[in-house]
Amino acid sequence: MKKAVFLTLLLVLVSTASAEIWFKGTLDQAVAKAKTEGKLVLVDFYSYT
Amino acid sequence: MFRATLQEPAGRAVFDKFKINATPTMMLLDGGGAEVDWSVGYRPPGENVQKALDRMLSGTDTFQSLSAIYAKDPKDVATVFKLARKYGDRFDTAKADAMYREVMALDPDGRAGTFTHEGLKVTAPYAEFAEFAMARTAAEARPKPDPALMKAFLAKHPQSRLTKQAYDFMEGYYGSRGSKDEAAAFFAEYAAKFPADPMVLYGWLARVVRDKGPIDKAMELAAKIEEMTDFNPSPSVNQLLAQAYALKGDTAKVEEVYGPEFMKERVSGLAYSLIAYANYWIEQNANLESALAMIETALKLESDNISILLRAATAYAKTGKEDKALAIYGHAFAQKSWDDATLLWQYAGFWARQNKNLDDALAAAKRSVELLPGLNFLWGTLSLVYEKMQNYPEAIKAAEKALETAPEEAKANSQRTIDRLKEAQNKK
Repeated sequence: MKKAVFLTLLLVLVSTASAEIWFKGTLDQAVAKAKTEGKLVLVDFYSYT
Repeated sequence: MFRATLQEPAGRAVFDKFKINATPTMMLLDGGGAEVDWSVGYRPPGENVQKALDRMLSGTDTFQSLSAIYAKDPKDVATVFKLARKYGDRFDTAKADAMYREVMALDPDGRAGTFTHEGLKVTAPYAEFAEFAMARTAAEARPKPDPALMKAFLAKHPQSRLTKQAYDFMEGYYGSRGSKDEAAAFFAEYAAKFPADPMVLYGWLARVVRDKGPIDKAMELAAKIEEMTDFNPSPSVNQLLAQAYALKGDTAKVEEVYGPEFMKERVSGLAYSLIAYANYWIEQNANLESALAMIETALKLESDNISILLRAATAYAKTGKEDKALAIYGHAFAQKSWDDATLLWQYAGFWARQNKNLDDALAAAKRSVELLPGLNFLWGTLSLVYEKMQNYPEAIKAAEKALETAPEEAKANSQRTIDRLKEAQNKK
């Protein structure tokens, strides 16, 4: 199951990510969507330097 | 993928919800919003981010899998320890310490197994690491760090492989806290334990400089550090030495250890290191882009250093960049060196070996023997240039002058050169 999740998880890494790949909505919405799709949510905790 | 940005209100709320203490942190949540695992920090190269993600997705030793094992068997020391480390990774020291206390309660004699800390390159029993970790938390606590647990750790584990790290943390404390007498007692003990480490004395001296005394102690430490680091002085260390000598008002010594001449030598040393690096990788035929970049940097640092120019030109020639070699070590250089026989000899020899720029090499070689006609090796290089130009009559004439001016022990070699040139001339 983990492998299937891995294959369906978006793999664009933080360092090269553009604004378009981030989920647009709240975290609760992201989690709910992940649940319906059988996916995990990757949360990037970020701070401007 | 969801991004929580600390500076945005919605992001701040997510930070608070998960009690995140550091960025970057990557966290995986499952469909129920529960934490699967996390990874804190970034260590180059970028591929390490993928590796961290792979580990989180693997299901092995994740927070979620460890928690499941713990729920079934809370007495498994290895699992409790790993959970403690998980909390420690995200700086949740309260939870980390609580689990470390469990480790120590479950395994007071440290027999349940060992842990290897890759970064520290140390292997020690779980219980010992747990005790060390808690002592470290206390020693780094804000606003009131406390070294007492670390002192107790050292007293209990005098032979621990974590001893050096324990003293390092205590140094962080006594570097700016505790009374002067307490600090002096600590550093004396630390220095006695690690007498060959100049950085231990450096920490001690830093504290003395901060306290502006005692001056005699500062001078004693400075002298020892200078002696121990003389083979490879460091600007950061020498800056502290300068501060120490300034305390005493010894301006001459301040200039000596940290003045313009000192820094010039560091810059020159760096330039040589960069060229050596470049030549090493050129020989390996790898990292060539980096090698060439380092040559450029060396030339910026020491644009008038002839030895650097020659080494850089050699490196350029080895990588087929004769145009770059000519740009730094070409006609302009020869003209500038027109009254220096040795420099012209070096220049001529270099281009003869490259079999390029031979007209200019010939002019330089002729000028060198004109300046110093009694040196055999100058004639030898003139001969070489003519040979490369396939002008054997002139090559032989120059080689005969080399023989004429050569010391006794070099004559046989000069004769062999003449014989070889005559043979080549006959074949032509």
